[in-house]
Amino acid sequence: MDVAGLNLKVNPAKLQEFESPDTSNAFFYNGKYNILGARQGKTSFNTTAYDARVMGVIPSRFGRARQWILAETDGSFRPITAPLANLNFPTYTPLAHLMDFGGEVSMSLAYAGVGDATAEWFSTFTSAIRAPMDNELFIVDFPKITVTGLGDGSSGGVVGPVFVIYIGIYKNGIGYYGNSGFNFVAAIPNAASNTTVINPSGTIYLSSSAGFDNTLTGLIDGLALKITTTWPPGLTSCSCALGEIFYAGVI
Amino acid sequence: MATNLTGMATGVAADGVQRNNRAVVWNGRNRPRKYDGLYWRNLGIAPWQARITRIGLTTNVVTVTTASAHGLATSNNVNIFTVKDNDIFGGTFVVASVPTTTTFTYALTASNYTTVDAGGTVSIAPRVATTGSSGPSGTYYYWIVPANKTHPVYRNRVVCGLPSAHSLAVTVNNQGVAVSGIPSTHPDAQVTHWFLYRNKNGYITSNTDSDLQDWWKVAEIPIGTTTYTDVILDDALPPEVMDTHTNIPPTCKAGAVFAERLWQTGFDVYSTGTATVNSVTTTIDFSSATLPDGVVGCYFMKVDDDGFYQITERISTSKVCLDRPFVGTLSAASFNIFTDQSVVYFSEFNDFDAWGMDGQLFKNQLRVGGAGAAKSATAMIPLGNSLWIFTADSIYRAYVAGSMSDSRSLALTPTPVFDGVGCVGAKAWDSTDNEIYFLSQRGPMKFNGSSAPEPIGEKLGSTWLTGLNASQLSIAVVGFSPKMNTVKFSVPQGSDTENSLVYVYHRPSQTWWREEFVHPGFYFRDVDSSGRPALFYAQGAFVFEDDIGTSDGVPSGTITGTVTSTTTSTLTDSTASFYTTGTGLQERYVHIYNATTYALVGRRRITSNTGTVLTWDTTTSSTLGGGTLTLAAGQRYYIGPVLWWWKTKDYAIADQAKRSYEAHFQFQVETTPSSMWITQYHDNNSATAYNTFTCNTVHKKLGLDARNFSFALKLEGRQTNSDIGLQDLTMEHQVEKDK
Repeated sequence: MDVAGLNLKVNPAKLQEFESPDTSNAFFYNGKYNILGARQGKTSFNTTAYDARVMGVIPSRFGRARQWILAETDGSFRPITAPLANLNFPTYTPLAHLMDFGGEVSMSLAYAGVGDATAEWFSTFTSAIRAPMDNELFIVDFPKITVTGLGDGSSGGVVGPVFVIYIGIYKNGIGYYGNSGFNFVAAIPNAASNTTVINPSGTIYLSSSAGFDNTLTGLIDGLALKITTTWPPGLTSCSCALGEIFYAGVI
Repeated sequence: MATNLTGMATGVAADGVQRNNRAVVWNGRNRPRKYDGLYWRNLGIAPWQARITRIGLTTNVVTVTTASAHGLATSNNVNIFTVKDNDIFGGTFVVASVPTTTTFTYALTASNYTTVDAGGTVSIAPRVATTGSSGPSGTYYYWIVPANKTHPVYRNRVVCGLPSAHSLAVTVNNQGVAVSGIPSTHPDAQVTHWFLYRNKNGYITSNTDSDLQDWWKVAEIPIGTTTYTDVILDDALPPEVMDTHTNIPPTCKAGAVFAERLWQTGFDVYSTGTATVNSVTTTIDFSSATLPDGVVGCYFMKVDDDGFYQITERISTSKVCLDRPFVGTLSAASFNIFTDQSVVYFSEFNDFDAWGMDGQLFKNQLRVGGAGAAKSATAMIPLGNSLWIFTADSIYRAYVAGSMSDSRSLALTPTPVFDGVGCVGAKAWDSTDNEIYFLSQRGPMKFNGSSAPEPIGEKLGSTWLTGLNASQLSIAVVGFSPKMNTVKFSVPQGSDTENSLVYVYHRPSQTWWREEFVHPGFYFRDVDSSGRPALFYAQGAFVFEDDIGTSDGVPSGTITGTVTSTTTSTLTDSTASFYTTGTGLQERYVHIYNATTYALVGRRRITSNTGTVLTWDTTTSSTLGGGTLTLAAGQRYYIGPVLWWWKTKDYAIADQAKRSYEAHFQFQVETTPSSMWITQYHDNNSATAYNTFTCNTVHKKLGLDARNFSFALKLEGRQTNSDIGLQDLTMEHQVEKDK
């Protein structure tokens, strides 16, 4: 009869703490053996007044508010504040966080009657990155866009103008954009002047199907922003306070 | 303030995704809804339809009566379908007159027809009228599109509905166009505006219905305004074109986000209630069922009947229209309503509110198994660059073959990528580290998307699965615990209608252990209060964080003490102050043990409590925490955790027979008397290794018999005096090979 003796050793320091064991499936054989935890238990989130069964939970984030959506037996969906207050975590997981503008970027539009108006603004990366591939995307978070416009004085309100923000890449002094802009409409009431603040956010895909020149290769110099508008009744300026722009990578 | 959504189907499990600062939820019976932190909205804008109640023909003029205000105007386009004598009245027509808000007429050359009660639906495609004034030059068509400007969605995009019928052509020369006949209402309360579109530079394709023709946005017209004068020059048109792919989503049970689209499949079957044929055989009454919206497009079937019918309209919460007259008898008969679960629907690219082109319900779809070999999808799981679509016994792969934004690039393998193994339910999977863990009818599986699914549960045997029926399998859930690096497979036992058994798979060691006294209805992952990824589960009215050892699920109050009196369904501690806020200690377990030996007397799942009395359900099975239990005064109890002072990980046992161990315990202090209770778990069973372990020395040796154990062993222990402090545990393993 063969007898094989093997030792399994507890690390007493780990009595209260979980530690991942070896991945070799050999912690039995190599003598490592950890205590899982001092006690096994559960912490509940108390739904308190709700007697029905919870039929679903969708962890959600709205702006900076952290919530769960509880689906209950009675067919209601109830947004509740999850017991995870004051957490600030990203909606997206960017592959690379390129820049945080952190302040206001102003772009002024000037007009000579009806027609297109365009302003461009470039930001240079602190270190060059490769050009985006097809269908990679920028995730843009504009906390605020302030539009100052001038009405034409006629009766009735004016619908529009429509602004389009294009995000592109900046290379060799030129901005390269697709045709998939980020639209927003600033309603300019028919006053002598008016300021409108809107809070858009969105994602722009630099895809060939959206007109982006994805033959650009190699390193690029930075990000390019372009804002255009057509049919403004008399817009004098437009300023954009930009938040963070992420280069989020392949989806 | 955040609002609640009510009025959805009751008693059905729901699911959803968080995406782009919106939550999208679905439950298999209602049209998916979205929530932006303030408002609930249906996805998409419903097509404009009204139910027909009467129809008749006199002197080549058809008069139609609708159940509600139809909102039509003269020269609007209407599509009449599934009406009584549809061969006569069905088709597309132009409204000739609108005598009242609930009647309209159209021209039809046919024999007179006495007005009768009629089921059926009129879908309304309002068409505006146009005349020239001053502005552009060329030939123009106009469309109007319903829109909800109040609640823009992702990318600040306005939610739009299907376009109307286009106007008749108007040709102008340096003139504008006066547009009239814009409907003053829309039946979908979400609609705030009509968006007006037209072609540019006087150019149109030969087929003006083509979605390849760009139609440029001219104006946004608030609901209530019925005219607009277009004087915008072509070059001044904003760069926004009309989208013709804005149909509404289906009602589905399983969903996933893949390729920047929302994918949906499955349906929650109605299996209760009775149905009756109305006087019109296309109309079905339900005497004991309340049907939510979203059943349009689903199928109606009498139980044990061969034929099934498509539902074309939900007239009320108790009445639907079928696509053709019901054949047979349907008096108080049981019924099913279901979707074709072999169909997988997907939204437009980057737009969960739009699901396909006009005039066709849910055009964006793929069929699992293809024509003639359809299979019902049970789960959809995104991994890598594929969406893996599971049936009960096979796995298909959806993928992007071209530009992601082009619906035509989406494809589904015509035959299974892997056959013979599938997923038992929509929630019976989770994924981590590019691996999918799912429960199949053959047991737990691991799948990485490239090689065949790998069974990981051979050691568990099969009896725990083979005894379960389809209904039980459908509620099985799987969840990955980031903290423990384990995957939990939870299923019912016996005839349980809740999950009552959890098999825990430890990924690094590839070993298993078993948990009971927990009943996850479903798992989900989020971050814990420290911001670390964690697994949560819902049980009853509560959401629990899994695998943590802090407050044990009891917010406050007494959690341990001595039993003072008892019945077979209650435990009383007259000195206790149990937590009673809200539903109190409901769903927590109470563990009762011998005060001297620490032998476990029993565990019960608390159904209600007062400040001093805990109650459990004696009619519920013991595996669900119920049943009678005989206790005695003087016994100790603990609420919340399974009361182990320490617990080892499980570890694999070498694949030989006849083994024994010696366990050497090293304690911090010597305490006399102190006893230790140890239970060893193996082969999904537990055994008492040593009942009372007298700790009268800082070192204690204990012999453990592991003969004929097959795969794993773990130890749990508690001592009467936690001060003795377990410092060290050494196990010596002896293997006796066969002689």
